[in-house]
Order: sequence, then structure tokens, then C-alpha cells
Amino acid sequence: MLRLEAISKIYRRPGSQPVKALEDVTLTIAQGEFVAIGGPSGSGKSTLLFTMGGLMHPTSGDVRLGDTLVYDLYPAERSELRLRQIGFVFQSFNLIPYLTAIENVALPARLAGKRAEASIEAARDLLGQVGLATRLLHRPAELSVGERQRVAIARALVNAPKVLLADEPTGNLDGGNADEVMSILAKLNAAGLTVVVVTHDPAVAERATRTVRLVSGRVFGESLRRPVAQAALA
Amino acid sequence: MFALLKEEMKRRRVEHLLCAAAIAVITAAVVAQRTIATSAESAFHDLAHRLGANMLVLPGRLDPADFYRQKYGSASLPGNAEELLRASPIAGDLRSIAPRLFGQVDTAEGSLLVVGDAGPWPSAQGGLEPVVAGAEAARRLGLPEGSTLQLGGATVRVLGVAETAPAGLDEALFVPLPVAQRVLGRPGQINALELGGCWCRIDVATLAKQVEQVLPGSRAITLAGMESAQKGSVAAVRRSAKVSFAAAIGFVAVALAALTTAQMRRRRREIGLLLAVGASPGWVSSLFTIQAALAGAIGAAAGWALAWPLTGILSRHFLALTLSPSVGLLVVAVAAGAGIAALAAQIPARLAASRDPTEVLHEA
Repeated sequence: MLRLEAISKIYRRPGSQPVKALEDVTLTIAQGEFVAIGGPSGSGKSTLLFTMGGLMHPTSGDVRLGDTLVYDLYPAERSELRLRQIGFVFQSFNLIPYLTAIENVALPARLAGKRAEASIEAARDLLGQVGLATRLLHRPAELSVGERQRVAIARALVNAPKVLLADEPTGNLDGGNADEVMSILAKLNAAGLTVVVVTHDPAVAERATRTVRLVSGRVFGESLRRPVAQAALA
Repeated sequence: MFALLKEEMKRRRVEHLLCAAAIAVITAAVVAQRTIATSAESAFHDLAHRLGANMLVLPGRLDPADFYRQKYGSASLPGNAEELLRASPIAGDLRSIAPRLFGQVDTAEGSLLVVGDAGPWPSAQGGLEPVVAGAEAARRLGLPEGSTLQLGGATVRVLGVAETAPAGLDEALFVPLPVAQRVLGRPGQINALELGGCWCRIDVATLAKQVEQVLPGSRAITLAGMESAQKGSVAAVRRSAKVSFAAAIGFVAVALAALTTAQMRRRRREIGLLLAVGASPGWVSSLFTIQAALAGAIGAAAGWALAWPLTGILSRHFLALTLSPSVGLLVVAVAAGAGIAALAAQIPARLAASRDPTEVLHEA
């Protein structure tokens, strides 16, 4: 479903040496997989995730989502692809501070052209699913960090994406909240959603069905973990 | 998009209000200038049209512009000007000679424009001096036909109300020349002569010069002369209008570009997020463009409203008229404000839309 072929990414900044963030990374993620991308800081985990998600043009190599070559698309087409097929969750939530929880979740649906009522209804449903049915009208500042991340997950799901990409989704959370967020991701995966999580936390990686380890921009190793259903029940 | 626009404008209302207020002040100045310039040109054309084939003779010390602004001063023509012209070699070219005395007189109801005309005048009922009131003067003073009025210590009777007053002087009271001379305290004086005739046989400019020779210290104004005299000032007004319009456009553009740039910097995380979740670069660019256009349109509309009192004050001062900006100018101002703002916001908006969202999204 998601295939990366010989991806390399070199950051070039004027006045400094080029930095190889990714080098010849080839990776295939099948539909319904829960993949954790681990590795030390600066190993290229987030770069790989953003490249997968059509946010960062690789220096070389191809990213294919289904039959679509992601970087052969025009920017507006790539935006459309992200809008309808990819959900993003970030470490720092990135909620719009002046919108309520339900408005934040409904935003991508509105961008996708859904009517306001339908968008709000979908957002209400998703917030209920992540346990925030009573916090719909709260703004991000009025929510705990765990609740904010759950709002961000709901937002990522509102257009029913094929794949959910999460960049250190538990990085700003304490143990309890991190567990809760990972349980939500595991349940979504159990329901058939493809999930890719970048993490440097081995405990988080444990929840995935497969772990890919990156070191210095190269795939250093892969390990298959528990089956999907077992992970969901964890 | 509307929710994002509304919330952003609400949250940063002081910033938006200040920007709109600055645009409003500039717009008000441009609208007032445009209104006055247009009206001055139109008044000039009216005057020229009224003057037609006639010739207006004024004291040389009286600036025609002041005459038009109803600031007559104390300059006068020779009291026997009519006789001098009739006795001159050019008398044959003059079909009519109408001496006039223009002046302002204070009444209980305020300052009143009095125009003395040599007549002939019909006699008024009861042996009173006759007057004809311009429509605006009759309305202001409450003078119906047949009513009487105290003017300079004498009682005069209103023979009629001129709905279309001579020379367009709606606010004037037309009285026999001796009455005007007495009321204005200028016995035997006149400060204007209107000459009528058929100039087809001769050159008007030459005739004007001859009039000035017969009446030393006078200035004979013809349509051609007025055109040539006014051409320079009209051109100057047009030039200054163009300069101020260009300056206004520049100011509005800079203000809106600065506002958009500031917003772009402040909202980089939000922009990154919008791009990441699938908003197209065009959508993000439109968000900023529309926001700037709204600020520009609101500022321009407020400017048009502000131009009302400003135009009134300036037109009273410079033209002795009370003018107000037209609704057409409101449409033009709002369209121009929104358009300029939208154009000015293009560069920062496109920059915002072309940002790499990953720069901010990965920040913890």
C-alpha cells in the first residue's frame, strides 16, 4: 500500500555542509500494518515520515501510495492526496488555538469540501470515540496534553484516511496519557487502518506489529512483533 | 475559511482596526480631494457654460477664483463703467451691458449674498423695493412670494422665488443696484459687468483687451480666457490628485503587505498545519489574500464615511459650497481598497503558502 523505493534525502543549506538525512531507504508497508520507526535522535525518522506523507520531497527515490507516485503529483494534487488519504498526528499536537476541539477536528473535513453540518457531525462522532464527548467546545488551552493529542488523532481521522502517520505522538505525554494514545492507535489499526509511528521510545515501539530501526538515515534492521489483533488487545 | 478569518480578525482586532483606520484616513483624504476636484471642474464648466458668449468684467484686484468663491472684497469697477463703454469705439460690438454689485450682508439669519442688478425692475406692492430670492435663500429665510424682509434698515418685498437663480446663485437675494449699493454701504460702486453681444465679427480676445483699455484696472474674462486661465489650475489639481492617489495606493499596499507579513510570521505553525492536513497552497494563499482584502475594503468604506465631514469642511473653505462624496465613490473606494490590499498581500501570502510545513510541525 505504501512503498518507498531507494529514498535519499540530503539537506543543503547555504554556508554549511550537506547533511544526508536518509540514504537509500526502501520500505514497504502493507495495508493494515502497524509500523513503528525507531532510532536515535537525528537518525532521519521524522524525515522518513514526512517523505512518506508527501510533505517533504526526497532528493531521490519514489514514494508510492497505492498506485500513485506521490511526488509525481502537482503540489495541489499532493495536498488533495494528504487531505483524503493520509492522516497526520504530531508530537506537539498542532491544534489551532482559537478553534474549539470540534472545530479543529472538523477543519480537514471542511477543507475536503464536506458541508459544515456533516463535518461537525463527523467531528462529534470521532471525539466521542476518543473519549472527549464532553469536551467538544473546549479550546486547546482548556484541555490536558493527553486530551489535545486525542483531538489531534480525531482530526487525523476525520476524512477516513488510508494511512495514519504519527510523529512522536507520545513525546509530550506522561506514561498514562501515552498508554491511552497508543491504545487508541492500536484499536484503529485493529479496525484496519494502516498506522506508522515514529518514536524513540522502545515501549511505544513495542505496541507496533513491526519495527523499523533507522541509524544515520539507513534502515538498520527490522523486527516483526505481535500480530495485529494481539497488539490491539494490549 | 470563514471561521478562520473571523477568529483571526476578532483575536487581532486592534491590529486590524489600526490598519483599517490608517487606510480610512488615507481614503478619506483621497475621496475628499477627488470630490472637490470633480466638483470644481464641474463648477468651472457650469460657469463657462453660463458665461457662454458673454464676457465678465471684474476689478483687476479681484481674483476671479475669489469671485467664484463669493469672496468679493472691496475692489470695484469705475461707477460710470457702463457710460465709458457706451461712449467707446467698441460700443457697437456690445449688445448688452449689465452692471452688478456682489456682496455679503449680515442679517439676523446670518450672512446673505446680495446681488445688485441694474434692472429694469418692476415696482413692488406698497411702494417697497423689489427683490427676487434664490430658491435656497428663500428656503433659509422663509421668504414666500409677496413676503417682506428687512434689508439694511429698509423693508423690501419678495417679487418671486427663482427656482433656477441667475448665474446659479441659489443662495442670493437679487435686488436693484441702488438698493445693493445702499445695503452693502458702497454707494455708486459696482464690482462686475456682464457684457453680451455677438462676437462673431471680431476676435474675442482682442475685444477683451479693448474693454480693459476702456476700463483701466479691470479684467475682462471670456470663455476662452477662463479656459486658458483654468487649464493650468485644473491640470495642477489633476496632477496633485494623481500624486496623492499614487501615494495612497502605495501606503495602503505597504500597510497591508506589512500586516500580512506579520500574520504570516505569527501563524507559521498554523500555516504549516493547514498545509500538512491537506490545505492546498492556493487555499492558504487565498486565506491571507482575502483577509487583507477585507481589511482594505473595511478601511476604504470607513474612509468614505470619514470623507463626508472632511469634504464638507474643505469644500466650504475652498469653494464656498457644501459638497459630499458620491455613493459611486464608495463603490470605487471599496473596490480599490480591496483590490490593492489583495494585490499587496500576494507576495507574503504566496510566501506563506510555499513554506515548508515540516520546519514547524516537528518542533516540540
